[in-house]
Amino acid sequence: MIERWLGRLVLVFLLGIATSAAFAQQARDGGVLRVGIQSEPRSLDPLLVITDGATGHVVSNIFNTLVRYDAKMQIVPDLATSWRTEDDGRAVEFSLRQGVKFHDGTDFDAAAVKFAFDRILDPANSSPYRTFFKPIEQVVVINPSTVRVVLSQPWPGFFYQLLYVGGMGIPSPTAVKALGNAGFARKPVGTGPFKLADWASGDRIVLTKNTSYYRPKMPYLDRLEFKVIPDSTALTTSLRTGQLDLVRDIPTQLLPLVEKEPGLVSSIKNAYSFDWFALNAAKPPFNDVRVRQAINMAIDRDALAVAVYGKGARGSTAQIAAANDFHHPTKLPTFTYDPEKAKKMLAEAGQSNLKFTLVSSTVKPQLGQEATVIQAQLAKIGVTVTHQVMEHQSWLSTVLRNKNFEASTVAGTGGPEPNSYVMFWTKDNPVNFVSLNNDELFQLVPKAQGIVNDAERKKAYHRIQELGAQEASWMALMEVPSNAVMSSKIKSYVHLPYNVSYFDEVWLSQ
Amino acid sequence: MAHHGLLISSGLRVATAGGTLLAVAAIVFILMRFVPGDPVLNWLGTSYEKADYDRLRALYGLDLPLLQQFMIWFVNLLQGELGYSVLTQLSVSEELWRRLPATLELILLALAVALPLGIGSGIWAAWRYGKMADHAVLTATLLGISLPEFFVGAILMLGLALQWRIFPATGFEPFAWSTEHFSHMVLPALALGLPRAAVICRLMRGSLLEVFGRPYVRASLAKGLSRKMTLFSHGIRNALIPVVTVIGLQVGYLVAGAVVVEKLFVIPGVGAYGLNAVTARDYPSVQGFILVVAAIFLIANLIVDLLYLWLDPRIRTSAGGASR
Amino acid sequence: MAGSANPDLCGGGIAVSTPRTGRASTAQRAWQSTKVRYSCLLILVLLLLTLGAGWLSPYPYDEIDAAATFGAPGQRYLIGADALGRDVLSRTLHGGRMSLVVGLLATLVAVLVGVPLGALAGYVGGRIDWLISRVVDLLLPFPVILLAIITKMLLGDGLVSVVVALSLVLTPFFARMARAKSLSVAQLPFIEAAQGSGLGTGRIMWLHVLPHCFQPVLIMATLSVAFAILAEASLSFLGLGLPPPAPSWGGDLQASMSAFQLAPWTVLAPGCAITLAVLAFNFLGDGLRDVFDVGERFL
Repeated sequence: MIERWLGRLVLVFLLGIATSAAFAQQARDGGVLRVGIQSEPRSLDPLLVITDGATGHVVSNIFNTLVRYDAKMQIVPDLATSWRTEDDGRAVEFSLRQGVKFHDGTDFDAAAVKFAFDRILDPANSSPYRTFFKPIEQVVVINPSTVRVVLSQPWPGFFYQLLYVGGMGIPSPTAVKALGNAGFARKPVGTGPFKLADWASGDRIVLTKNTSYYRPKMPYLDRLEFKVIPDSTALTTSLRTGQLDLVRDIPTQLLPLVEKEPGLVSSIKNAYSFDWFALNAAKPPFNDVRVRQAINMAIDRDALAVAVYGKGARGSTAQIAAANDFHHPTKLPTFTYDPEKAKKMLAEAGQSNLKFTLVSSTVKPQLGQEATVIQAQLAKIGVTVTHQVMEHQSWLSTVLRNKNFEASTVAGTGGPEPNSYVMFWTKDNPVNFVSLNNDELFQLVPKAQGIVNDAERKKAYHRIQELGAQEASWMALMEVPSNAVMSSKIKSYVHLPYNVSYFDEVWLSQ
Repeated sequence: MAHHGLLISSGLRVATAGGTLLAVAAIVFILMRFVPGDPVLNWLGTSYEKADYDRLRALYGLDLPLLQQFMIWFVNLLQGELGYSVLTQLSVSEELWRRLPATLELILLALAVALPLGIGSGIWAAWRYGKMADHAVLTATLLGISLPEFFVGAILMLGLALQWRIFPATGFEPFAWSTEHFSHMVLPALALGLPRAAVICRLMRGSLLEVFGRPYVRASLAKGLSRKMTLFSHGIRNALIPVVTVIGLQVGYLVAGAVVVEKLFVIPGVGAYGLNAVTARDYPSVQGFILVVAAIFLIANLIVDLLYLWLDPRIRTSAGGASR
Repeated sequence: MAGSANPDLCGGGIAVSTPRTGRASTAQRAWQSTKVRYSCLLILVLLLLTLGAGWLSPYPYDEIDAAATFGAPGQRYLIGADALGRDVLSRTLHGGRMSLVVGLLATLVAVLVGVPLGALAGYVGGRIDWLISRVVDLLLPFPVILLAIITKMLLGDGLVSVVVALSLVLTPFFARMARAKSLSVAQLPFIEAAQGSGLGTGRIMWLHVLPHCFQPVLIMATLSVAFAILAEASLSFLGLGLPPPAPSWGGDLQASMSAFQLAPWTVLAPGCAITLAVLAFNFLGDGLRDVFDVGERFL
């Protein structure tokens, strides 16, 4: 009797092992992953990088940050193994991972972390991240594996900022000092799973495996190739014919085509990303707030969303995305479609026959489509818009850096941290290229970062959104679903609704 | 004596080509200075840092008198220095040099498609003058010269690459004697070469008929096959001359077509570089692009001119000598 | 006379010169060819459709209908909708208007500038000839893309820049052809007689030289229009033509390519339109060439 039961037990046990072995797929070493990106990064230096659709996916594999997201969007250790908040949240002490080396062989240590922070905070480097790291008073090296960040006020959102490889990717101090900022931008050195092997301008960026990456056995891939393909036709076609293995954020209307393709898998997520409408408040007639408000009210955001992103897409009702807890509960006035009122307001401001140029960057084809639709919508109230398409790098110089524009459609990214939607609305922020100017806003945005009480924080962010809607200079148009289309051979790719991809865990099956 | 004349004529041709390139360079330089607005401001926009502005002005010597600017620019040019791309800060000459092989290969492959196909079908159509085959060729080539390269390319891509996965749709693999490299070049070469083949076919056919005069052909048709063959083999040699001359011009169209094909099939060649530069108003890169393209077609025309010179004995001696 | 070809060494144009009679009979003879008749009919239809696009289009070409994106032919629009729900038929008609206007205008400019210059060079000879020939030789092999880039930078976006670029490409061909014709006429005895009788250069050219150019110019003009339409489509495809949302055959094709399998009509409509228009003019040129029995090679 017992033998029979023992026998069955053994059988079940053996079966269990067999099935779990079958289900636990072994990660295969080796292989090349080819990713398609739609524009060429201008710089791979975290100091300057704004993680747009091109740069983010590349940079996130060359550098590590102190903390990162896991698959469930929880904050987990990366270069920092543990941390301790002290002093009512006014100081954070990080214990750093031991034995990590940069791609150039030098050691990663607390001095490198201090170097990274100081570099951002140094005004001479003109980093767009400087002003939103303002709460940092100083960074102290306690010993080579411990670093302490002292804040001027408690900062609940601090860890969300640390996640962003844009800004917080840790560079090799030796390399930065040797190459200078300009040189480092094209020859980045980090601790990441891949290192830069070749950057053929206009063609591709090749990253090869970092054999001394700190995570054991990873990365599995030998090589990452980022192919620059500006044309969305060529991008989708290449994906379907197998010349590319992964593309992020293809035009939504083309999803039915790739979904039918047998070797491809697609993933769609509600994103925190949004496209928005920039009006240059420094250039007449947009220096008149009534004109800015009127133009925004003449845009039918819902129709725009559907036209560009297909059925199911909805226009924004406030600056912070609906997926975020801090989203404003009511539809703010300037987000409401009211062409009659818009016309009246323009007439009051003496701008009934307004003419202006609307620029769109080639980084995403949807930006151009949005501009076309806005042009048509504004024509209905007698406003003449000239649409100018600008190559992305040109847009970065002309619009972002030199503020030489009147209006533009722009791609933006947010996150679960509400500050990510409004973080550039601070005084003298180099990324505030619309010249948004509101004292209450400038004072409230940094303050809201530090409010610990949830209810009070919500109130603060609601007020920020109301002010932003009033200024009508930096106005979300619609929330952009994020998609990822990839070959079915790709395993363990986590589709984060950001412009960031971690390829260290990814492997290719046969 | 004839040999001497040949050398002189060849020398003259080379000198003319060189002179033309110089003229193009001068024109490009002048035009760049005439683009509306301060060229440096065009690159920097209105909110620029004074240090950048001064640096660029000094680099291009924009405060000096125009002639001096041209000398500086020209001397730089002779040393192969074409300036730096405003967008990527990379050296324009290095970038163009890196991309040149892909474009040249594309053009050569397109010629390898167009010449045999065009000349062959042109001869065949003339041989079968007036018959069904001739009409078929005429109709096919009429369609061929009316189709834009990008339409041909689009149909090829959507058909042979997307629908039936015979060739890769886009992309470029660095040069190697491998199927991987050439499979990426098949569709682009066809898209570029087929319309040219249609043009060359018509030219060849017309030229061949011209050499004989049509009534003559009709007469020799009656006389028998061997006679026809002798006539043709003589005729082809003479008929090739105007066709060869025109090939030089065709290279110009091939270069223009290469820009389109490079964009369509995502080939990182000189054409794609120039196109991006124009859209981005990256003037130093545009300048370099224009010069390189001008050099390509001038050299091609030169080669053709020299070939023409050596092929046709009538031209060699200045008074048109006895025809063969 | 068979075989009396005089190769024109400036690039391979071959001119067979035989005396011609008046214009009226030329037109009559031309009309006898079926090729000419059919192609003229096709061109007429094209001109009516495109130049009349404003009246014939069922919908405004820039009317965006988000609900109708990629609508199949027959659903709401006759030949379907594009990515933004705009009527493909209307866009194709309007695009055609631009293409034809550009093609005809550029050819007109090239004829009005190139023919007199070339004829003058051939007739007068000497330094004027040398100068004009040098300029022509310089411009002749220039790829249209280069010229379009240059004019775009100097003259900005817009119709003028495209027309200027195309004219610059076409003029040298007319000039060279006119020069060759002029040269062959200048040697004829009755020209000496006219000069002897005291007629000025201008009148001689107008009365005697230019009429000889008429037929080849006509043929070349038809082929020019074909070339110009093709070139304009390529420029629009590359983004060097008119800026959005102006409809253009090349630009619309480029924007729609990725969706070919979803909505093939968005690619086929402009593509076939281009081919048809170019074909019509090429066909006419073919027909005229057959009729006039002139062997011109200028490509």
